[in-house]
Amino acid sequence: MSALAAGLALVISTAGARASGGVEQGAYILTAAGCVGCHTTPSDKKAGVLLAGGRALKTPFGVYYSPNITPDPEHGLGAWSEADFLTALRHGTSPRGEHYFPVFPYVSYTRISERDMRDLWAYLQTVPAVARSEPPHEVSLIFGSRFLAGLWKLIYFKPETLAIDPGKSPEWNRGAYLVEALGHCGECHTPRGMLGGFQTSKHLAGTNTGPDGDSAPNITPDSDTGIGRWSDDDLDTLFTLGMIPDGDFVGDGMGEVVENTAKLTPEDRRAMIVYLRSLPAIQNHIGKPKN
Amino acid sequence: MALRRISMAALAAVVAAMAATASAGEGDIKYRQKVMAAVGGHMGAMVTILKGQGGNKADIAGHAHAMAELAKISMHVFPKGSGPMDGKTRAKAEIWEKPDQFKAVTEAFVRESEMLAKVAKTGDMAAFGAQIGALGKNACGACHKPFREKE
Repeated sequence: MSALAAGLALVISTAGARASGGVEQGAYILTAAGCVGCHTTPSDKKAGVLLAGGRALKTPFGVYYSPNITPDPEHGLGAWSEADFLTALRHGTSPRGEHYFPVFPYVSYTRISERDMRDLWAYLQTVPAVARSEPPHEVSLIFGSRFLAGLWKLIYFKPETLAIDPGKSPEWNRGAYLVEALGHCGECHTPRGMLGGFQTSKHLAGTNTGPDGDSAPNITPDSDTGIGRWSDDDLDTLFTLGMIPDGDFVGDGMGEVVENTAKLTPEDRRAMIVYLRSLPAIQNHIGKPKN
Repeated sequence: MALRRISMAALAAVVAAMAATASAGEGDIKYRQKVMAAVGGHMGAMVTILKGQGGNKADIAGHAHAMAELAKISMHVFPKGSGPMDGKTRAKAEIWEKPDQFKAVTEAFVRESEMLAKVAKTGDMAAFGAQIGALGKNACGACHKPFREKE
């Protein structure tokens, strides 16, 4: 990697960092990556118990239950090494070499920098351990097969780090990293084919069959079917308050995202907006067919 | 003379009957949409003030009071006959099929907006912003997710 790209890479992954790195930065990474959302049940969240897993994730392929990622040695990640954690995020593979199902968004998380993964790991060690295992997945033999998950990965997944674009500003690159790696926005907002692989030609252009069976809007700059008519301030209001331009509020899945984006630095929110604005506008109407 | 009086009375009765039965459901839908637009308008106005982009801080209490009133009104804008079978509306049939669940979210709307009106009077902008978020999440989102069609 050239010196410029390496320098940019450092800026991109540490932008928004508190100076000390480590656990404190790891807490920030947790927020930006939205781990609590999938790895915590609503009742646990109300009780202030975080990351103990067991949340039902409804997909077209069945219901998967998120694992306990607290440092419990038997029920969580207590027996893992840091290298195990890096492998899980970068390669979608468990310490025993089993393939994870792509409901765990390693297709996006693979792009997280090693430094951020290490800081996140450091933070996870400080989370209170919870001695509870998650329920088994409620899926068919096909969609519960680790072997077939491995085949899926061969077709639809490539371990990679996010390539820096030296022709774009550090702010744009930071936004790309927040959206495409940590924020994993595409996991909800990009339509998928029948087997759950991304339709990359419609990246971030929304889908009617999104998480939990809900739709996820087109967030490309198309003025009719996307967010082209939104101002930058509208987007920032969404990311801080969850309010959309007509005064209504997002709920559910996006509501949880907003809880996190509200905690990012204003610079990081700005970077995400800059990046989202730069995407190709894709016309893709989400919702009821217009008569 | 008496004949003309009776005819006028009969005419008035017929007109009144016509007005009452002519697309009552559609009228209710239209009214509801106006009420919801007012809710969105006040929300957007308050957030504009909150972000320091315009308007007058002194007017926040007025907007919050309007929200509390609109919340009470909104409990009555879902009469039978104003559902998806009765006209063009995003209101889902579940509103009338799950009355207990629906009642819970309309009550949440009243509760959260009354809290908003209370907080607005204190002048504490941070608390006000937080309560706007709570209102948006526990009322707007909590109702629209199960009970309103996507666009």
